[in-house]
Amino acid sequence: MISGQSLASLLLAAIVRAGLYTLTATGLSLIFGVMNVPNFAHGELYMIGAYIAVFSFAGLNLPPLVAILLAAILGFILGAIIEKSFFYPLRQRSKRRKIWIMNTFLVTVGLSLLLKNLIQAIAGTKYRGIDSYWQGGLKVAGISISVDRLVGVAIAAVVVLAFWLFLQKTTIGKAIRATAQDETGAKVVGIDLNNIHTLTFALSAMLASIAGASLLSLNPAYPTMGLMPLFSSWFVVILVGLGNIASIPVGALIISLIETFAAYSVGSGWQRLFSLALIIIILLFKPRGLFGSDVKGVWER
Amino acid sequence: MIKERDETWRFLPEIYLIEEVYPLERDTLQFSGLIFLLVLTIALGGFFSETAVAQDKVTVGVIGPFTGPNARVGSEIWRSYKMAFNEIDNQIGDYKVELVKIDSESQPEKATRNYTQAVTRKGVDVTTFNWHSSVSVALMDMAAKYEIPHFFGGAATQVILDKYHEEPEKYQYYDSGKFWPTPRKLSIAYVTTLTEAVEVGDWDPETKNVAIYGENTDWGRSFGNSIAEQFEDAGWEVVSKDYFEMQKTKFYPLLQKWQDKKVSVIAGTSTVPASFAALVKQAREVGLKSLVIADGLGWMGEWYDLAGDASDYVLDQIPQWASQEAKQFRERFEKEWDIEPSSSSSGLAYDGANYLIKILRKTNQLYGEVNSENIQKVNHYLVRTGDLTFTEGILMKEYKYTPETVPDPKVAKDYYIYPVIQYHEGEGTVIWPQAWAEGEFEIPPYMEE
Amino acid sequence: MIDLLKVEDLVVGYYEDINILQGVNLEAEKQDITAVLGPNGVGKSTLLKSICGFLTPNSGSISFKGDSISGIEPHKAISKGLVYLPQELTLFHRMTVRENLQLGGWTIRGDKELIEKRIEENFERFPILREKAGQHSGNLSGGQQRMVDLGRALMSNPEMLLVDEPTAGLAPNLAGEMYDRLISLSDEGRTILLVDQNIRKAIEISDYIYALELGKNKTQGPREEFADVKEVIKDWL
Repeated sequence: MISGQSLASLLLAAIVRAGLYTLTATGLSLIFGVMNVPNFAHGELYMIGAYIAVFSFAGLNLPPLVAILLAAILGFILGAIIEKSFFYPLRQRSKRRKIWIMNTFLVTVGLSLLLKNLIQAIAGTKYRGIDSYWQGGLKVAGISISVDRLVGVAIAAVVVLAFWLFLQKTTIGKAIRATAQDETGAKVVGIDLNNIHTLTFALSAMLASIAGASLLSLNPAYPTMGLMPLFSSWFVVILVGLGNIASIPVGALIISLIETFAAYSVGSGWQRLFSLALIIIILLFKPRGLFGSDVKGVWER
Repeated sequence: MIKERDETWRFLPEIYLIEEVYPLERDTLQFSGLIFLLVLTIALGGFFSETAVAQDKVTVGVIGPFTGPNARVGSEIWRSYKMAFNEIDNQIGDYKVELVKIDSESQPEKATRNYTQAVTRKGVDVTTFNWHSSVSVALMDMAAKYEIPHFFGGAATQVILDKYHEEPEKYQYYDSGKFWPTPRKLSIAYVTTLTEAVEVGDWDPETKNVAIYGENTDWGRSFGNSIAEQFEDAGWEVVSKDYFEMQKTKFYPLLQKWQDKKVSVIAGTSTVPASFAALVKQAREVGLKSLVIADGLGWMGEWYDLAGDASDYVLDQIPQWASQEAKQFRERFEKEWDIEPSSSSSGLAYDGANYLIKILRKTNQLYGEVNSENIQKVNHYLVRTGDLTFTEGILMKEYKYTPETVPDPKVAKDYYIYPVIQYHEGEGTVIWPQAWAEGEFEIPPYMEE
Repeated sequence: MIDLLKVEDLVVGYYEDINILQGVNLEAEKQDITAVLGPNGVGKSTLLKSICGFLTPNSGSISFKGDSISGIEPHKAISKGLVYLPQELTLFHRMTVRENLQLGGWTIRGDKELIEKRIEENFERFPILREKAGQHSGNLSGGQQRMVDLGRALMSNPEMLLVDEPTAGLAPNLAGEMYDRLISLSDEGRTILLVDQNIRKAIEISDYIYALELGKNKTQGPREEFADVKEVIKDWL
């Protein structure tokens, strides 16, 4: 039997994990919803965030929050550059929508290889990590947690909340959602989709970059570090339904809880199996995902 | 950077397929094709330029994980081999030696493909090193097929030994195919260290519960299962075994389980520094009251940057930069490559390279012609039998194979042996064997709280 | 009278070699309702899509207020004073009616007061929308959604509306209401280019009529010339 204290500690671990998944999955889902791009280079944006943070924190001795902020800003800029140099020209040449998803999928896979190899060529194969951003930890009712993880989950919560407010309350945020809901409608009212797409990709890159930066002490920067967060994000996005952003925190928590408790009670080799099994079962009964009743990519309605 | 080559090719037929179905998308296809070609070009990075025709030349294929999760190890291996062969001007008698990379990408199927290409296109005469057991198991068949001897693999596990002994004739190209003994031959040292500490009264553990962990690979499982048996034989109880994916970095549920099971020792291994450091750090974060055996934590140069003081009191086994030559090598390596070498990959690879040089020279001297066939003769009739040993290494006193041990080297004092060390502020203190001990085994203070 | 919109020898197709429109000419006079009629598949909707930039002409020219707008990017049409209402509703279904209207004012988004004023005007035009302001547009009835669509189009105060099948799928009484709306918009001084299947009704409310046949002009003329609707329909069949 699990004691109350163990239970609390496992729940805490799941919540911290869910924070990371939410950050990365939100960007992934957004890009799919707005641009219909299945982004398999998302993990590399996460990786680049980690590299930016390690160089600014350990290399330039900047304060932790500044390092994370810098990762956010540079991640945003990099996202914008990637969109303008890869997806924008491709969109200008794509007359047929049917093949767009396949083509962009190929481009993102290529992009992923490119970024991995580029980083390996520049930064080498060394693991670049830090011991911790902040020293110390808290101990409440027998449960210990380091300041790094607390701050990590706080950053995730604040960023996700701020991002949600941005999408719900600001005119530009509404324009992004409008584009996801009806692309023709967005054009009709005069929204320049090129700008919206660039902004969306940049924001999504920024979220991934923040995730990579804020969890640096847990995951040191390394060229291939993006694979696991990519998988986890896809799990979450598929679980709640492609393009459904509002339900992502819930999906992230479900996956995290399953993984955490499966690792505890069955063995850590099994955790992926359990989350994947759940996804398969849900997709059998709800092919559009757990909450995906009417939300899908813009071209599929 | 040979890595992405084949994956990319695999996509091409699909592109053509699409074109047939949607003839109107030619532009778009050309464009994405273009991007792929760009990636391909970069990924190939001079691959073809390395191709050349063999003439009075020995081509040595260095196998290692040059890309992928273990690329760090791969780069150390490659650089050590480069250094050793540069020191002899890449010359064996009249033969020019060319080193080529065979990238295993940490995956057997990719290793097999890259191996085949290296043999068929570059005319590799002999292969060496490699890091993963799963790769070794796959490549043993390739070596038998192409009749190319393989020397000094860094892959450790029992499966290689078992496979070799199934058909020693067929797998003779792996006669000296292991440069890292089977885990049980080394892991016993930990159990002995702890048993001795308990016997002399230095340590009185609260329970005799052990938890086993490790990356889910042949290596991780082989080490974990060996040490589990050895602990059980020594009267401990193994309460859980967990093997996890290589790149895992979140261990909180696992740590909670160990806390609940009141384990006094956790023992295991990983080859991914990020993962290993995360485990050690998180154990301290949640306040796990166990002694940590982390076999291989120190294998990568930058391990301490990642793990920090959470590594205090952790036990590891690692060859030491003890000799003068070893220290000099470390300095040269750092100067030349600007990264800190680890003894278990750079040091071992350097010894492997020099042992191989000795073998190639012997081949030249005996036969006047250095080719796969003659190298294998030396391997089979001189190395395997223990006649051609290597005593000029920087890590071990003597590398020796005997018909009883092959494909493992002989493990014993004055031969191949790893001391058990305990970390304090990033430095390892040898605590076993007694003869080499620099300090006493210390019980971590957090266990006594 | 001034031609607000002028289309000359327009050739357009979805693919390079297959042209739906093969040299269409059209002029729309200011403040008129101009109808484009014809059987299914003659290219009526294609014409509207080309005018507002959703399709790029292969040849020919389109000008609005004397400026060429051939191949204009769709999102720029609205700032010229030209707004397109596609046959299939393009509302933002998971946003409220108010948010839909707000986004209709995207081009004037800097001026919050103006947007509020125009929303208020729309609420006066369509009182039901005031009641439903906080509801998701996807939850409204078909007729109400058409109102939101029209209201959203009016947010930018356009000079000209390109309306494609505004009554498709509406009950007869609602359709009648929609035609009344179009007439009153015309009375407000807006120019309307209307594509409609309901030939009788379209002729009734239009000032000038074009009939297309297989991508080309067939006939054209003021409403009076189409007075005998039965004759017209027979002619098409």
